[in-house]
Amino acid sequence: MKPETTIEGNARLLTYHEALEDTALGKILSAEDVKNAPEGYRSALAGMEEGTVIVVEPHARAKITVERKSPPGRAFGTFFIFGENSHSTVFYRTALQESTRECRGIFLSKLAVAHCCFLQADNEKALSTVGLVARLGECSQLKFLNSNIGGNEKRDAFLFLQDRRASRCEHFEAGLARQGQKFFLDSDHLHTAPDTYSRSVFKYATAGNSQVNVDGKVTIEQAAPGSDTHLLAKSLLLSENSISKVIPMLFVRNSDVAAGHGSSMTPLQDEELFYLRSRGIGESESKLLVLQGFLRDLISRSEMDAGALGTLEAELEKDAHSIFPRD
Amino acid sequence: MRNLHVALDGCVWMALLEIKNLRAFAEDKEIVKGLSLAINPGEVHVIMGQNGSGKSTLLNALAGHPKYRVEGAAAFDGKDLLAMKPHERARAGLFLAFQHPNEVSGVTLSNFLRRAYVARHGKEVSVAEFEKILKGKMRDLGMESSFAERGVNEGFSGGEKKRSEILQLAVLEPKVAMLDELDSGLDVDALGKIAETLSSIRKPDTAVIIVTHYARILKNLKADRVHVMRDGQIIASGDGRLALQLEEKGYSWINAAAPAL
Amino acid sequence: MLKEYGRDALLRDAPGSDSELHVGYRAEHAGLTLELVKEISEVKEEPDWMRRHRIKSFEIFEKKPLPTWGPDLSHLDFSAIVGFVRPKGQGYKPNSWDEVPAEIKNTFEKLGIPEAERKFLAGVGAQYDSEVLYKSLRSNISDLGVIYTDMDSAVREHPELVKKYFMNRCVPATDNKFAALHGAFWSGGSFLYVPAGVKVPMPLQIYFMMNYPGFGQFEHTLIIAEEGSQVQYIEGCSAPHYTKDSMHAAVVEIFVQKGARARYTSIQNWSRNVYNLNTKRAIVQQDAVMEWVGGTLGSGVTMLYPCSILVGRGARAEHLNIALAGEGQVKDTGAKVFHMASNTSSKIVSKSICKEGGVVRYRGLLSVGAHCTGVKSNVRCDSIIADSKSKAETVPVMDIRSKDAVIGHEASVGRISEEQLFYLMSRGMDADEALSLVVRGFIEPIVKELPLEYAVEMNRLIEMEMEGSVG
Repeated sequence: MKPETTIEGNARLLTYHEALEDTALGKILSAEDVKNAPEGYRSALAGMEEGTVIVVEPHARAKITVERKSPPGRAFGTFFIFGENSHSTVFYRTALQESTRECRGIFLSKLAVAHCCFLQADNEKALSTVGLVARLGECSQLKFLNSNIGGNEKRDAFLFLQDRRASRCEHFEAGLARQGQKFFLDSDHLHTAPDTYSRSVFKYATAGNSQVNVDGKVTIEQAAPGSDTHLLAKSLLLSENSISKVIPMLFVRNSDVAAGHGSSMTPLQDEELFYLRSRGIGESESKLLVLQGFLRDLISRSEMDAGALGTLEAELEKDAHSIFPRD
Repeated sequence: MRNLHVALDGCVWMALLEIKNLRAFAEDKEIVKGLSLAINPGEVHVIMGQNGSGKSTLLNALAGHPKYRVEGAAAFDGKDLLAMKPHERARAGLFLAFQHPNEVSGVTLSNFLRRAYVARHGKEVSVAEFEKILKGKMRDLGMESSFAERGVNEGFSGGEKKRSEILQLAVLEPKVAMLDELDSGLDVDALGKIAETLSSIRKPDTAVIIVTHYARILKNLKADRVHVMRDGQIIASGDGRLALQLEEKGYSWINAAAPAL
Repeated sequence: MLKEYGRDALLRDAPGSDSELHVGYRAEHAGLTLELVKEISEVKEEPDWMRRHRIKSFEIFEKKPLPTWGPDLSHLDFSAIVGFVRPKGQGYKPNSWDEVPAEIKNTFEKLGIPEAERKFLAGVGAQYDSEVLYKSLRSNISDLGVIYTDMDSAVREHPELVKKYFMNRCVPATDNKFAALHGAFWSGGSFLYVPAGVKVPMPLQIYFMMNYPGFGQFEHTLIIAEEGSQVQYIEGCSAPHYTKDSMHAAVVEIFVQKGARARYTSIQNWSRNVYNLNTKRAIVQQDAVMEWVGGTLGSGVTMLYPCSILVGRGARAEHLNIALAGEGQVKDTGAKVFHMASNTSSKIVSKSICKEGGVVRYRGLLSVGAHCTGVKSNVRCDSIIADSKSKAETVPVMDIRSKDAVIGHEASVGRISEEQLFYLMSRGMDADEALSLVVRGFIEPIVKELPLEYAVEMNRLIEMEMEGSVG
């Protein structure tokens, strides 16, 4: 079944097969010249039953909302192609009930600006595998906020390819893993052109016996002088048996760069909780507030479209309440 | 005291720091577009201007920042300034107080200052001797002596960074002190203190060039000349009253009064 | 936890050219035979239990594969070590001064190394004669009840102690291929036993030992710090060591018992022909502290990940390391810390510099077991990459299973900023002085933990290496 899509502004909606009729579009979507495209992207692309492509015209402004409540099949694709100098906001939400494989493509042409907010709020039966390729054109800017709540097991493999000069990429991940959930994120930021900029901020909270595995790779090739990159991964462990495995990796092959990463893990701080409680707030609610603060900070830092962020926050709040019911 | 020297191009250089038709380029972009200025010993010059007018670039270019390619002529104490490397300029008595001083972690402020002192005065000084000198200066400035054992600007607040720059100025006793936006990020009280400090450590011969947005610092420090920069050039010069007028009427006034050159 | 990772665990393979070349799993080792192992044991006149240990280790060595991750080890030639494993005794030929590479002689000159030391470092003297220099020092130490002797003698003179600790709990031969190789062919090294409550007043150096036979490839260091004791041990130095050996597979085992404090400082600057594949590990008991301070400056390929296993409540580990990689060098180093008890803490500071095509890689494993409460850990790894021929990589693995652990990790890679250098030059320092000050500041957290002569030498060596490397 096709997703519900609302488009405001100058953009068109096509099916994958329709898009393939245009050779230029087809070439972009196949990403065949991208050597390190995640396996998840290629395999989903190959086995795809249905794919949705949204193309924003050059110099256009667009606001796009996509909602998937049930998948068109086991494997499907969702692609966004942003034309030259376009300015777009995207909100894409999935609320799936079963196991799926998806490939997602975000392709920015020269000077395009795109703010994409993705929310995966699947139900507990869903096992989802997502392979994403994001490719940034010259001087383009991508703000990407991905939020994982719900679902049973999620395997995300993302490649952000900055192979044209002066592109800017901001990548935010907000994850809340409850009882038994497992999130696997393999994020790869690859800089192969000069003066590229990337910032990644990952925040995960784990409760129950959930598990989060994050491999955050940033690679700066020799051909990418002037790169400025930073990756920050923060974990909040809320229970005894949740597991957090974080590996931020940095591979630098050019000396004219500023590269760094940081990662931290903190528990719910006693002082913080005490402060709230000394103002009359109950124990469970105090924890809830701290958890919300942890994630909200990321969301507001992303400075994205208020509407999309509002929805995102509401979903997170619902989920957070299930971890810390009001007392 | 004036020095009269005849430089290579036959011109007579009279001032302590004389700049003739200076142009400064960052990569291919021209930022300072032909600026001339003469500064005599003991004078206080204030350079004002909006963001992007090239004020900081001017000071950095004079100090020899590798980022800028410079054309034109400048003489410092009778010598060809532009031919000198940054450390040579410093040793000759030119001092730049940075707007955003760098951190140099793992190196104590006292160690750093001792080396700079040795470089400036051209003679060795023992650690003990220097300690005395430094302690004296810090006492005069009302600074805790433990301040000197911290890493250079490591973890310093904005105010502490400014104080670190002023301490360096006090220790090195330059002939020309260039202060880049010393007042940025400081509240009125802190600013007053810094200006006071500046007045107290300054020798009568020391010339000072202050780059600033606001005229506030002039409430505590008397300026001999005030220059206004726009788009890489000086569009107006006057005495202290110019700064007050600017503060009152704003930059739009002066932009209108001195149309595009 | 350990089981899951295996003792040899290290984490993640770094994708990239180096690790794509892996030799098949049965390396050529013609000449390395069981007979040779038995012969060595006989020459040393070892007790039966040690002989059996060697044989068992050799069997493990033959079966174990080479690691499938890490730097390229395809040129490692096991058979080349045959000529060197015989214990130094009759027929031992020192190197001739002529064959020592000019580069090394130059460094000796620049660092101002005394003549006599130069010969020793280049393997040109037969033995380091410490008789006169350290006699009184040695008697002071033994008065305290400290046993400090070479490993071969310890096997003969203190068999109960050695047998209790040698390659069983800490670094067994099964740990990895090079540990097994070591178990079969080990020779030389130090044995240091500090009785309960004894605080050894000065850092012990390998030169203090009587008749120290010179550096070997398979030295075994075994340090036992009993309850409440304190000891510091230093080996190596920044000055380059010349050797014809191509592979070093030393093992260091340290037992820090309840409330004890041990510091192991190791500075290595072997010549470029060496593969440095040592295994260093400490088991740290309740309220005890283990400090690893290291400088890996030389050798061609280094794989070194000192490991601290914090098994007692309140145990603490600190790992401080400097790694320098120049042309043709690969430094694959890091730290492994296993937090297996509550209230344990660890701190890791790693500073690397790579230039002229060198490769530095930091590999860390920080593991916190479930049910360990109050664990704190902080990791800081910074790399200076001087030019674009070189590579700097960081691959830290954090596996945290306890909900109240406080863990921080930060890494940065970049070159020495022009801004920083200009700032210093604007204070009158010339380009060289500015560079040397910044570099010294960079390595200061580690150098300040070294005894004075070592610190001075280290600073000088690094400055020498960095000269002219910032264009």
